[in-house]
Amino acid sequence: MKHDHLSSHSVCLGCNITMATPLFCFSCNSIQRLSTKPNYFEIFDLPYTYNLDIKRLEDNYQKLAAELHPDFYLQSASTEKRQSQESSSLLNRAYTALKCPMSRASYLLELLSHGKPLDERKLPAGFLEDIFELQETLEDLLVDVEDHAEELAAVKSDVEKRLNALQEAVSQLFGNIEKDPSNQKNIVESIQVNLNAERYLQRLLERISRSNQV
Amino acid sequence: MAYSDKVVDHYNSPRNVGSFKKEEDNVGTGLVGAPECGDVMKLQIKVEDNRIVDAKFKTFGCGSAIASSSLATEWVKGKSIDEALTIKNTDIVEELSLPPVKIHCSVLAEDAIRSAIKDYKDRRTENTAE
Amino acid sequence: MKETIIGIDLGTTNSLAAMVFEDGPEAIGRVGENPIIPSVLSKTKEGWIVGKGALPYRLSAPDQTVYSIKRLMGLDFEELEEDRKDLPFEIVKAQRQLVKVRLGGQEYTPQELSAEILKKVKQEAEDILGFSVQKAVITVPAYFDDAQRQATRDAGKIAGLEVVRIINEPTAAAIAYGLDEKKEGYIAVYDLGGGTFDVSILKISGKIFKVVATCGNTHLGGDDFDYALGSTLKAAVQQKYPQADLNDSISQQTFKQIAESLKIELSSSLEADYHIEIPEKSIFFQGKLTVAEFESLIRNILDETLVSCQKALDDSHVTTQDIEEIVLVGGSTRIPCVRKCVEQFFKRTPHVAIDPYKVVAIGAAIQGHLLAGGRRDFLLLDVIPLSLGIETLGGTFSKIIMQNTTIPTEASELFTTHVDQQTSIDINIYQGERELVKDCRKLGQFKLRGIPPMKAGLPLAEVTLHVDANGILTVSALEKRSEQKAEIEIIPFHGLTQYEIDQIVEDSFEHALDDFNERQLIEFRNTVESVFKGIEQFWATAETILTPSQQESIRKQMSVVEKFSKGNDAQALKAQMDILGDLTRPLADASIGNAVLSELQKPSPSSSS
Repeated sequence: MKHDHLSSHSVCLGCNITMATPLFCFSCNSIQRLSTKPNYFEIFDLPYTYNLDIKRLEDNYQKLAAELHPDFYLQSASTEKRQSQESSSLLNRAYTALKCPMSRASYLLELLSHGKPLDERKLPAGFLEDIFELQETLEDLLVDVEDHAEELAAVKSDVEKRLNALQEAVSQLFGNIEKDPSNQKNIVESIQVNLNAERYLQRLLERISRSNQV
Repeated sequence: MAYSDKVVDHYNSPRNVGSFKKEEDNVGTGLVGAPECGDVMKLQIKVEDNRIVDAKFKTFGCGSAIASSSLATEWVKGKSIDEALTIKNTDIVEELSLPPVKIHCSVLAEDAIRSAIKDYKDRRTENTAE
Repeated sequence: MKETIIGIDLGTTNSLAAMVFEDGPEAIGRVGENPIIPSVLSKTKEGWIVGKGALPYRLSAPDQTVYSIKRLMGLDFEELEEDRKDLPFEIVKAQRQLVKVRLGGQEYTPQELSAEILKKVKQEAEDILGFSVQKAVITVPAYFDDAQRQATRDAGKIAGLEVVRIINEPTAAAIAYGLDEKKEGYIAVYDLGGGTFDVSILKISGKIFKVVATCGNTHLGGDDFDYALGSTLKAAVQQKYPQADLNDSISQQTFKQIAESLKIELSSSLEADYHIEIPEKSIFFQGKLTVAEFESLIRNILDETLVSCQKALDDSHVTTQDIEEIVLVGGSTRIPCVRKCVEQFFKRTPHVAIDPYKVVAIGAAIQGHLLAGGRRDFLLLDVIPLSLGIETLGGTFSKIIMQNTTIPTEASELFTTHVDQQTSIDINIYQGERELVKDCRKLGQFKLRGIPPMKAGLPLAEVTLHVDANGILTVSALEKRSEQKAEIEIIPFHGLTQYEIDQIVEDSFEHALDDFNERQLIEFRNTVESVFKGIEQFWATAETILTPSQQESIRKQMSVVEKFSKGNDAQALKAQMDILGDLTRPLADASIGNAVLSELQKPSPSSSS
């Protein structure tokens, strides 16, 4: 799955050169008309993989934003103006989706499951009990934030540790798909289980950070 | 239109908040979560002669989730186990006039009732088997 | 020459224009004069008086004089409930909940009044620059929502300006600062103006200025310090004069003005004496206020700004340690205890090298320069300050575009029908962060028409919200099953419709004078008239010092000038006047001190740029 993107490179409508991104031709400096919505990975010329080269994503985002942004098309024809608005919007959405590991995982799962819905309720065994316990601890601590600053920080770092472990697991699972594509269906399901769990942990973090506000 | 008065009432003064010792023989515990928003809900029942004599809950979540579980504890009290299993999430939606985006909160409450009863039954069979 | 796009800081208390000149960006002002134009306007029998000239009218004609009009932009009548009491001018409710200000028996929308300020800014700039200004970048508080941005844009339209871009004030400041200092990394911009507060966290990397998070309050600012101080003064006076009615506009203005000057005095000394005199009510009062007292009065307001700072940091996933620099913007940041408070929070000394009064306009001018095609060496990536979404059944707010999303952006949502054969759907659009629509701002109502008649639930209308680089929303729709473009009709909830704007522009009494050419023509014609008089007056001298052929050339040129002064081209008339000026130079030299003739020898402003 990580190599087939190479075949999908599009050709510039102006100079016929094969482009690194379907949004803009760096060879003849022209913004491209889009007839279909391109895949987020293609936009940044990146392989379809979870373990993404973030530096490259960042660099390519900046490079593209500096060409596509509507500010540079104020003096252009109205079709180009419109295209720059559309392409910039798409670029921003694609960047946000790929930058965050969890939304990147969701996007990949969407591609891998071919639109078939996955079980959003399934959680790791014993997970819900842990969450409930953490919520109860938090409830006691939040009665007096100032007095329990240290304990709160400890809960926070515990939750963050769990989130990291979860992301690590997701990363490994995606790696396993690349090693053994035949087992893809089962692995996709376990990734989804991890993503389901992530929401509960995020919720805890939100609660802690809200309490920290002056 | 805002939230119904009943939601607000159950949210501001929730009934039956708390917990029983879950090790007790006649207690059933249901713990469920809503993947949509990360809410968690614990609902416990105390059973005597196949009848639910008391119920408690603890919910970490939005106002609708708290109101739904509060209402659920009120409704199960005094019902037989079989009667309690007939409570549907749609009844809760109707009673509290929950908006569509909050329907999952009522689903959560229904799940919690079922899961508490299942836990009670499971432990009974375990105990009698011993 | 490349077209000029100026930058305008349309502030609550002061406004200012700037542009990028050959040697860099600078405020547009006359040499030796303060370029700031107070955002105050007064309606007199002779017409509008705007800016510095209108300041005295705040006391002499408070009910004819308007200030802080920015606080009213894009708001509706009910939202103003609180503010209304503090404003001495009369605010009335117009159709669709719109707010209008009543002055001298006539009603004006905040857009029209802001337009008067913009007209003044435009005219001043044109007179100083010597050429017509058509396009501008106007700044708004980062926390302005769609309706407030639209209102600002409409004010520009009414003033005869094409508003090519709306940018956020803190972002403008960051551009001015960032390009100046060439810093990299995270910076925080703390912007406490007269009526609004914003904090933005930006990340500068290479040529990209990316706003990561923005947070604030459009109803918090230096004016609140004045109100807090003013009410303390009022309470003190009331105690001594229990019978006096201190709620009329004269008293209110008096308290406000004394509060303003106390605030300034306490910025440089530890205590200040004050005298309050309202002779009409036989009130003569004197008192003393210390810095400590002032600080405790505004502590709550400052704490509120810090809550926003923390939220902006949280939203950016950074801590105060990650912030490389704090940039202070807005007049209220000149108050020492405001600085101290920011410094303590961020644990870093704020950057104040650029004049906080000018930095926003200068940033806007730099952005204008980029938009005009003048440079490509930086790019500003801004965010949407408040989430956008729709009302779902039961009054809940469902977000479609989240707060702090980089703009431009777009997002879609699917809708269907509830009744068989239904061909239209009503959708209400809101902006805000709360769970219920009643706590968010309604931006408009959208009627989706042209849905093919089908069974309920079958049609799938995809509604797409587009937010452009200005943070302004548009909507499009597509029926997925029939691939038919559904029509969308937008009914703005707060703003003016296109028809209303056109109407205002048409009705505008001074519309003809708006045109720079028109204004110059009138000015040049007047000059021609007085110059001709001068020439006739000194003709006797002319006959003694000029040759007959010189005299004849002057006569000839005078008739050419006369012809051009009846035409419509101001620049052509000026060119002919310049020729006349050259021809009459010996005459002017001979009659030194004659102001009228020396008028002709002045270089014309447009030829010098």
